[in-house]
Amino acid sequence: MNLNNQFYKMKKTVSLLFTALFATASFIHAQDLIKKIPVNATMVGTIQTPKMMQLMSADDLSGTSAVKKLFENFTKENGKEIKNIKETGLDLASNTYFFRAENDSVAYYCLLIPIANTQQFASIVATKSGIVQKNGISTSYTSDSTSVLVWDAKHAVIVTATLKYNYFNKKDIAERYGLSYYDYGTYSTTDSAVSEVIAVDTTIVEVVEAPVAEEKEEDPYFDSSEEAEQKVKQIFEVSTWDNDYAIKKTLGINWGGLFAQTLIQKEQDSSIVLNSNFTRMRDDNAVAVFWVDNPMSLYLGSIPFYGLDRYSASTMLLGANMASTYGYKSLVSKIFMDNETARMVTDLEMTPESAAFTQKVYTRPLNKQFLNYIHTDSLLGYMAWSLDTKAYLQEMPRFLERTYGGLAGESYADEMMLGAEFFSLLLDEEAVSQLYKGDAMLVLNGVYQQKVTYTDYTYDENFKATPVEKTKTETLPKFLFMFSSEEQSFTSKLIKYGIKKNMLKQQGVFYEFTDKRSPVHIYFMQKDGIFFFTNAEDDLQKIAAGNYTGKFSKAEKKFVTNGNFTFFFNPQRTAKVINSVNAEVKDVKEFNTFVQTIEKMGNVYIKALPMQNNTFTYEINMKSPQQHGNAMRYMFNIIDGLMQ
Amino acid sequence: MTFARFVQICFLPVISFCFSSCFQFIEEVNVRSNGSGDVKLTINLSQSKSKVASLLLLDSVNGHKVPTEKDIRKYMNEAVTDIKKYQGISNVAQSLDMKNYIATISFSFTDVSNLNNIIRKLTEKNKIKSSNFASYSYDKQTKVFKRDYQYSSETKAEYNKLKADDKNVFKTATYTSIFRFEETITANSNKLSKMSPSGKALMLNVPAMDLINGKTNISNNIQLAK
Repeated sequence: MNLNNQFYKMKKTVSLLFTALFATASFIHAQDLIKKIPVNATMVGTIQTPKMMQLMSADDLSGTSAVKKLFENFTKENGKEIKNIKETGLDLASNTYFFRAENDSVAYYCLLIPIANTQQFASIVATKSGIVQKNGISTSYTSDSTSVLVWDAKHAVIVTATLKYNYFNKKDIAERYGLSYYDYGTYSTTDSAVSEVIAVDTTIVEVVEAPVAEEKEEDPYFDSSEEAEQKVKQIFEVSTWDNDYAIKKTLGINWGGLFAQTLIQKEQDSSIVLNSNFTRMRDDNAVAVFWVDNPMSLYLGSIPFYGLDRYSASTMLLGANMASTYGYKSLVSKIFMDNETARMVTDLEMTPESAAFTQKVYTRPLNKQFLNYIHTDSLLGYMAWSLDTKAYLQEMPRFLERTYGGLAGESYADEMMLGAEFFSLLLDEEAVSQLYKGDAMLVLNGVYQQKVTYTDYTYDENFKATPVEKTKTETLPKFLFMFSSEEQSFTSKLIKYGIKKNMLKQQGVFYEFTDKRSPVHIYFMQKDGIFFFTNAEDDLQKIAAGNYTGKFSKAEKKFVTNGNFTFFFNPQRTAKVINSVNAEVKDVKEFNTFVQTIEKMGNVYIKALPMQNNTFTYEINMKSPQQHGNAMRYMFNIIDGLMQ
Repeated sequence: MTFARFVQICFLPVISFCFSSCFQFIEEVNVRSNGSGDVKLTINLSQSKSKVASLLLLDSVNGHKVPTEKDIRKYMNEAVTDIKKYQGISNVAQSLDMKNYIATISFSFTDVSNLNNIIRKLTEKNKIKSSNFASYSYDKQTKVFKRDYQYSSETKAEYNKLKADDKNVFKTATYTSIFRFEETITANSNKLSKMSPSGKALMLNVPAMDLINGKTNISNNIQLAK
């Protein structure tokens, strides 16, 4: 909880400064702080501020609701009023970086900020605890003493240090710092001593030697009842916890302070620019780049208990094997913005083992016949995916074995392997893959109208009520779900069974589910190796008769068939449909905001490209409607809409 | 789980937006000259049956557990068992149409005052806080039937505590009250009431929101022909 709080508070500080960085007119000089990042940093984020400034001016950005809100919050907390990003003193001709570096005992989350006007910057970041100045370097702490801010004339750094649980739960380390030691092997607490913590010093960690508790003589008034003992135990545990917290907090802020001083004073002897894994991922065209080395390790390392012992919940869930061989080598997300599109491209580099599994599973192409049943003019959205069911089922037991094999300790690894083999033995992968080949597409294809009966009443001359059946029309979105299947024998038996049990009704060449409770009619049929499920009877009739007229351009077809997973959403058309079908929720403010927001949005495309060089690439594209000028203005317009 | 159910559940978030959710509550009271009579209470959700059907496929909506058909039938049977216990009440019956989502409870009473007893007991049993209360009286001598209704601002306060989606349910709901008598009605105090062509029945049809906001008073003094 302590570490989470610290991180949360740091994120809050970071978010304000990031936003402030997005704009200023002061293109005085350019500096690059990248050489201050150590070579072994496990995560680096780059905000290419000058690139952003080309898309939106400081004045325009300061006028957006999102930035105004940030300024308001800042004023509320610090009492300093900011009206324009230009007043922050930040140098936006240079990049800003955030990174994570670690050693065996502590992880540092750092934000490196270039400064253009030191006076302005100092005036807005000064806290109640004041600023300590020494040799041209200023130091300030957040009011909760969890993060330290250090700056000189050209740049600033914010550091939050989070201590590693595992390190401090070693007996010798706990004793060294006067912390309680919890022996998880026996579930007992061996309190090393009660310690006292002195006030935070920015350079030295000082923990007063723990006084040894004296043995007490028997007290005649001592209450030895179980209840009293329990109470004493609770008080003791709370105070021990408080004491440990205070010690760790002091260590964290002191180590963070030392690290920040070092960052400010000099560049790294071995900086991140010497790390080829990082440098090959840099991209000058992106407005932001986020790089994580060995993301599984970072994730597991962020869980306090991971790897501690066999009682660890996270170890049991994730398994030690996953972090080492069965996961990802690196993750890089790049955000690009231009006049037409906001685009995020994420490369996930897998370990050879994971890549081999993924490569085998994602070999099947999407059935191109699906595309004959899409009509662009009425399309609200779709989602298509393709994998090889047979390969998936064959590889899955191995995947489970590798992932969870180590979860219960080595003694159960053999049992896990046997379980995986047994699963494989039970399943006829070939037969299952004939029923569901692995490629499917879900299409929201416009709207249709459904007639629904309901009961109303007529009244006679004495107001005696007589129920009468009336009809009304409901407009609903049409869906069509398709998947490839070559199985005939089993499905025809299943259909016969369904008809016999009154669960299905045959309507010519297709079938209807007869569940009276269903709010929509659902029809299905199998044709040309495809199973069709839809709520639009007319469309299915046309598909059955072979006279459905689809409309889907070559470019759209190429987009869908070139990916393992594709997604498309037309927000403007969807907003129109929602408005046409739903009068009832128009009064709900949140709903209106949602509709008004999507009305302004451009089309959204998501695609997962086939694997190349052990790397999976995901792309999210949001088209910027013309009136916004460029994608950054468009994104802020959407945020403004949601905030109103 | 059938595939149809799977698809329905996948699409419920989209589909349930598209359905309206209005319902009718109808209270019918027949009063005979000697003060005895019959009551029929109806909740008609058939206009929202697509929405109800889609919601019944969910486990919970807006944080409320969605009852199963079994739960609803159990509740109805319990209501009948309870009402049967009250003095002066007989012929208690219930019906539940799960195709059109219409539920009714009907019973006979020997005296109009029995209705007040039921209201009080049900209010206590269901731990309903003091809110809008209606009480009924009938004077056989003067031939005056009265419904006294008192609006409590707590009703609106309770309504305001609901989530926006829950509030919506009431926005298109209606409350209909019908009183039928053996004698001709010579006068009634509620101007919103509509007289039947026979002159022996009165109908009051108001939006539920008007009752919640206290905009409409459904009290009535009905003078029957002597």
